[in-house]
Amino acid sequence: MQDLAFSGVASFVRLLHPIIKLTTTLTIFIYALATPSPVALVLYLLILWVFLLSVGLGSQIRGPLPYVSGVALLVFVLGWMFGGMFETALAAALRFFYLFFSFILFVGSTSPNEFIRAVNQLRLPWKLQVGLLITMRFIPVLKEDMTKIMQSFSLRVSKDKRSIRLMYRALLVPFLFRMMNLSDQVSMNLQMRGFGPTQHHIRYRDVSFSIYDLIFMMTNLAIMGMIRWKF
Amino acid sequence: MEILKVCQLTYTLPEHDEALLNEISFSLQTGEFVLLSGESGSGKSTLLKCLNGVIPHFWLGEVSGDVHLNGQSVSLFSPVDLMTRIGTVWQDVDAQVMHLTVEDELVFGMENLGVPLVEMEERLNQLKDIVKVNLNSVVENLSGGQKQRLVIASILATLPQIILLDEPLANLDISSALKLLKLLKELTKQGKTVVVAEHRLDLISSYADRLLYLKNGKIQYDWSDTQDILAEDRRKNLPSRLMRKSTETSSNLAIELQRLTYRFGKDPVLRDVSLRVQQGERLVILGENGSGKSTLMKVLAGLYQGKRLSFEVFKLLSQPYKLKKPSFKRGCVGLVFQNPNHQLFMESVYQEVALGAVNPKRVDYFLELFGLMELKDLHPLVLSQGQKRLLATAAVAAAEMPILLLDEPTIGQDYEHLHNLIHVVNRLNTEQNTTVLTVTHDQQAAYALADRVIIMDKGKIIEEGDQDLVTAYFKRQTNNVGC
Repeated sequence: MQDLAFSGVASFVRLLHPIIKLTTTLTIFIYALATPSPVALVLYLLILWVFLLSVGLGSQIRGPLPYVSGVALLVFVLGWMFGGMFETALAAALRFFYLFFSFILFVGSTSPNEFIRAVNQLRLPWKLQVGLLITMRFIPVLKEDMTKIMQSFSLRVSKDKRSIRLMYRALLVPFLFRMMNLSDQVSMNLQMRGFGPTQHHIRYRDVSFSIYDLIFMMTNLAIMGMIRWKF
Repeated sequence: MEILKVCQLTYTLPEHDEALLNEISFSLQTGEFVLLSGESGSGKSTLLKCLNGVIPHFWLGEVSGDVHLNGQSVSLFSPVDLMTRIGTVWQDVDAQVMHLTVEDELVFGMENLGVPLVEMEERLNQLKDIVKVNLNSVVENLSGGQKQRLVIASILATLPQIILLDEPLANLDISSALKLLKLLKELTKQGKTVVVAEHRLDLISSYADRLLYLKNGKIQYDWSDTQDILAEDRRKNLPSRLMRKSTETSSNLAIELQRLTYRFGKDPVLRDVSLRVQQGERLVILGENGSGKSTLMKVLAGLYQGKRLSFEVFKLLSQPYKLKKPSFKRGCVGLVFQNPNHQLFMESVYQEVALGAVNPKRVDYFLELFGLMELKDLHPLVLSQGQKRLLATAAVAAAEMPILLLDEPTIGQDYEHLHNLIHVVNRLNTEQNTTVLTVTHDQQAAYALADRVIIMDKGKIIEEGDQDLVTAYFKRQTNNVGC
């Protein structure tokens, strides 16, 4: 029987409680919004990056990183040109990386089912659970599709024929086509698997908090506090 | 006992005049195994959507007539209620997989239906044999066929009364396909009703009790005789061509690999692969799901590189392969992907073929060759799945690369489209001396496209031979399943 399980340390992040990971994700983003100093932003971002790489989420980052960098660069250039403030423009651009990295931390290591078990235990409304599940499913599918579209583009279009217009078409057309279908399909598939307002609360595995959750959260807050205090 | 009844069902898409389904009437009995067949675009998938309530619950459009489940109109059931009685496996498995791990995927439906834990455990044990991967496996790491098996298993986990499957055999290797059919047959003996929309009649005909053949949205035949079903299987008449046997010389090698290994995670997906393919040769790659066939194609196309790739010799057209220099730069490999939707992005069929064409004057030639001339002004995404696959192949062929890689060209293809595709690929091979490598699970397509055959297992090439090996392989696979 083939084993295609998570390798090495990645399983550590997987074992953390989904609500802790979601809270950490939100904390990271709040930190990014509330921190004006580019140095403090860069420093924490580097720590976060190293952490994600060390827990085996590097492969999740690698694919989308060039696109995120592209958008961040655009934000930086436009911010600097029209706002005139270098530091503000840089901070705005860095926040895109925060959004991306924190999202990877949560989505890349949390199975939607684990998350549903956790929010179920908290008795969150059903419609909110559906919304969260669709959001969680959206990113991995689009990431996978984007990779396939890019592979196809790189094979079909020789370098001399490539242009921004063609790239835009190549990415956007299949991508939009997929996006239009995906949310409908995911929502439909959820209901086809019995996920509805009257669902039962029998869970194959219980999701419970552990000492590692506390250590993880406290360490993260301590690092953020230290950086904010120093810079 | 009658479980489902369709009365005068007509369905028209919003803002369309022509009905996709036209006054369809039939009924399904408990324990019946029904095969739904017909050309691409004949209305098979639309009919399945009417049976499971996606139409009218999720899809808009004009519906007349009715579908009754256990004597009650499906429009009166809530979507969740209806869909837990009728399980459906769609064509697009990627959109159906929801979770990160195999175990989560399998238990999700059972959890929602409140299946007791002990029973969940029992069903999981039974389903292990279908998914054939460790339950902790990450879904993203599974191959197309493995994902399909997972989706099928997760639907079976909820024990629906009726099971609808839309082209379930498309991505499956022969042994998995036969195991699935055997399992479905056993389920019908336990009182489940199974409806399978499928083109591969050669595999399914001996299992089906009945064939509903659709044409232009109407039921053309409703047969209960297996012989009639077999007679309808025109795939066995695919245009086979005599094998060519060329004398191997090192100067006319299209592909030369020695001890090539590619890792994905802990384990190598390709292990010490050594392969020599002559220019103008047609090589068919057979093997079970997850054996590394598609990975080999992507490595040859230069899509998988980096530290994960190692080799002693890797030459394309006698030129040493250079890392970080995908083969498209040298213009020698064209790859047609499994899913054509990822490959089409221009505004019209004509532009799609013209995009990669080496010689713009030959665009019309390729459109004619692939039978796409009449469709040249249409947007690629409005074409049927079979037409899209032809177009994707035409677009790659127009680049006139000396090596053409086809990854599962038979998926979703009806006889007409498959016949056309094989004919054209063989013509390209004969007229332009194109080297063609094809990955397929379809026996007839393998006969029609092979000068030589290799069989892969667990990332290794384990056997090599001519068309006789196709016969032996499929026979062995069939015997292994005990059919």
